[in-house]
Amino acid sequence: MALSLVPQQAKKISPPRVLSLPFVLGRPLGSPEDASFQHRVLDAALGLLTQTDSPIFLEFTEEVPQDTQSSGEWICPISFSKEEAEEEDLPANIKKEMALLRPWFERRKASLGRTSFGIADLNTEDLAPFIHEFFAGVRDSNHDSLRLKLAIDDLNAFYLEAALQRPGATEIGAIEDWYWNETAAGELVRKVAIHCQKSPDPALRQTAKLLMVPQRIIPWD
Amino acid sequence: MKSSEVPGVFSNIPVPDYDLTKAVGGPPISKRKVALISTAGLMHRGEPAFSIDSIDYRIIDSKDETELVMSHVSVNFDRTGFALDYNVVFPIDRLREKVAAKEVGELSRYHYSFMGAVSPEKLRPAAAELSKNLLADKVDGVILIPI
Repeated sequence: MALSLVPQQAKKISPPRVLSLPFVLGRPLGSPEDASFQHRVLDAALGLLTQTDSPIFLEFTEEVPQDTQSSGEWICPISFSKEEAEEEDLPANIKKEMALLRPWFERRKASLGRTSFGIADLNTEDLAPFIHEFFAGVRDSNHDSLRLKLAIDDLNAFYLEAALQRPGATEIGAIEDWYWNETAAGELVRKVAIHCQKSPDPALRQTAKLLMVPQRIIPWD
Repeated sequence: MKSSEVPGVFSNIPVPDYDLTKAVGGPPISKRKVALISTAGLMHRGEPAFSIDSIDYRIIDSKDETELVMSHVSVNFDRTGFALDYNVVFPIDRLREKVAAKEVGELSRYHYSFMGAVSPEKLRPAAAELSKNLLADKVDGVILIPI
């Protein structure tokens, strides 16, 4: 059976059994750290496996608990100096930000026993300088575009996981808004994405347009 | 962001035409062997990341304690959920609990992940191969999970 977060596509494809879910993209089981809720989603999904009057399209109507969606205004666990943020040396500013965030990141990794960080083949301190080379024009080849993409994802993961260490910091979108709008790391990646969309390499242009910055931050044309 | 909040995005993504396939019956869930198939670009740490246009799938070995990481290329979905709790993307622990509660017959040792930001038609050969794995492992219940 198939879970679906995009009902219009599921209806077009029309597999034998679909459970249509009302959750945000990225959370197919709805509510993180909520085993009871996840079990209810799975119960609905597994229940379809014994039904044969296909095509079956069942809507799961229970919404995630509100306290999972929003914990009120989210405040970054650390403060970045506005004066420092306005300096142009983004890699240096990112180095300072990461130094401030590292204890939070390490604490989270220790408490969970896992991290999403580390899919790029770069050390933490090398991420920002590597990404900056694309903005500075040192690198401009699709040969490195996958490494760039992975470095960007790792940088995002580091900040995101550090920020999540703040108790109650689960409001969808708030942490990502902070990252893209209030950190030097987000600023660098936005600048690189805009710059690389002018690359002579069509593949790098496409990567920059679609795969570096969320559409809600830099809208697609 | 829910898909309903950006309707124009998904209505512009072409969807292949498929023949209708009838659902087949089977034993009660308490007798079934269940596997998960994700499109979240999941892999065990240390494996090469999925790339743009990856048409392969990865084996998620439920006995491998190497942590799961995500290398999906899209940036247009929430990532905090997975960072908080991988079960919100890949509910393997929930399935284990259902097996322990005898609600599900057996947990397949092997589960799978594609990286879903690829045209479905390009994934067809790998999907056909994967289905043979499932049959060979006598899996008779599969949950396909989007991201």
